[in-house]
Amino acid sequence: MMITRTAMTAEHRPSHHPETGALVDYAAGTTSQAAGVMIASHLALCPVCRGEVARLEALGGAMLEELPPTPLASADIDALLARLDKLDAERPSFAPERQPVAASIVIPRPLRDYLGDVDVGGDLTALPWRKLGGGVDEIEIRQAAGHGEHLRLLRIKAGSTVPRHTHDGNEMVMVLAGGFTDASGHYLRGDVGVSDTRVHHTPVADSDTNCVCLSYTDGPLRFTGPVGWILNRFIRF
Amino acid sequence: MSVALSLDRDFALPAAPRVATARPRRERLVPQARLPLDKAMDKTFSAPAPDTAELARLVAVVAQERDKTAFAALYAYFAPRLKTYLMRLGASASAAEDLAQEAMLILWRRAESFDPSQANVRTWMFTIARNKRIDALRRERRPELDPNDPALVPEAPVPADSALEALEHEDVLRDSIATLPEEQARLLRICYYEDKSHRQIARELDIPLGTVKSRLRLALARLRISLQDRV
Ligand SMILES: [Zn+2]
Repeated sequence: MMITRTAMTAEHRPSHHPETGALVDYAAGTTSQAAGVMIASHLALCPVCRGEVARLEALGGAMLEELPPTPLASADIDALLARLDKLDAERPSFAPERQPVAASIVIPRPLRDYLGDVDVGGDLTALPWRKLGGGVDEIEIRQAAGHGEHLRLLRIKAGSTVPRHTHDGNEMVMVLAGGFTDASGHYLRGDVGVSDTRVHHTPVADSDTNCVCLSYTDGPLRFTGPVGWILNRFIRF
Repeated sequence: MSVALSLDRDFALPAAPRVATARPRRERLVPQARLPLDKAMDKTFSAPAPDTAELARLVAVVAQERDKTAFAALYAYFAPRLKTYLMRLGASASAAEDLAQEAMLILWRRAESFDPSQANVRTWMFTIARNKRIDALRRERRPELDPNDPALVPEAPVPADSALEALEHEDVLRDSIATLPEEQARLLRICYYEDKSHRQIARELDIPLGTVKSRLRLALARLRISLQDRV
C-alpha cells in the first residue's frame, strides 16, 4: 500500500504532547540522545511544542545574563583574532553538518538520521522489521540508546491490540502512521502517549491501517497480557 | 556605539575632571576607538552589559563589516558567562574556556545567518554553547529539527504582533524570573545548569517527583512559556 503525501501529512496537529519536563530537558540540552530523537521528532510534527521549546531556549538565553562571569585564563586575544582571519580565509565555512539521506515525508528527519541508507519509502515496508508475534513488528534503534534506554519503531497490525504492558520507567510513544486508542484517548500522527510505572495500558490500533509508532523507554518494559510472554522473550531489555 | 562609549568612560573617568563637559568626552571617542585591539579588549571586559538591541547591532556589524572591535565587545560579554555556564554543567575551567571560545568563533562564522527578527543574540549563543557541550563533553549528536524536512508540519500563520511579542519575550523573561518564588527559580537553575534527571532532582531536593513536575509547570506558566495544560 502506498501512502500518499496527503494521506500521511494531512496536517494533523497533535493534541497529545510530551510532558513539560521533557521539553525543558531538551531545551536545556540535558536530555539523553534517544529521548532527544523522540522530542525532536515530535517537534517536527507539532508547531505548538516547537513554540514552547523556542520560548524555553529564550529562557536559557535570559538566564545567561544572571550568571556571574568567570574571568578568562587566556589573555591571548591576538591568537583568537588570528583564528578569525584564518576562518575568513577558509570561507565558505558552511560544511553541511548532516549526512544527506533520502528524505521521507513519513519519518521526521531527527529520526530519519538513525535509519541508515534504506529508502524508507511511503509505507515503511523497506525497513528491516523484525517479527515479534501477536501482530507486532519492531526495529530497535540501538545507535541512539544509552544505558537502560530503548528506542524502537513498532508496527502494530491494523485492528490488533498491543499486548497489555507495564514498565519500570517512563515510556513515550509517538504515532507516525495510523493511530491507536487507549483509555486516555485517540492517538494520531504526532501524538505522544506518556506513561510511567503506574499505568497498565492496552492500546488498540485503528482498524483501517497499520499503526507505526516510535517508542522510547528508560526502564524495562513488561508485557502482562495473554500473548505477553511471547513478546517478553523476543524483546531485548 | 557602546563599545566606543564604554571605552570613553573607562578612560575618561580617572583623567577627566569631576565636572565633565561634552567637549572632552567627544574628543576622546575618536582616539579611543583607534586603540590597539588588545587594549580595546581589556577595556570592553569591564564595560557595562550591552542590552538586547546593542547585542543585535554588534552581531550585524560583525556580519557586514567583519569588525573585530564589535566582535571583541561580544566576546567580552559572552565568553566569561558561557564559561560559567559550561563549568556549572561539569566542564573543567580550561575545557569550559575552550568551548566558550569555540562558541564565539561560531558567532564569527555565522553572524550573517543570524536573523534578529527571528531570535535574540543571548538565546542564539545559549543554543550554540549548549550544543557545543553536547558534542564535546557527551560525545553525542544532538537530535535537531531540520527546517527543510519534508515531514515538518508547518506553523499556523502567526499574526505579526505575536511574532514581535515572541521576540520581546526574552527581555520580559529576564524581569519575570526575578519575580518567581525562590523554590521555582532554583528548580529552573537546576534544570538548566545541572545535568540531572527529574528523578535525581527530586531525590536531592527531598521532594516527590510529582512536586518537581508541578513546580516546573507552575514556573513555566508564570513565565508564559507554557501556554497550555499538559500532563
Ligand atoms: Zn506537541
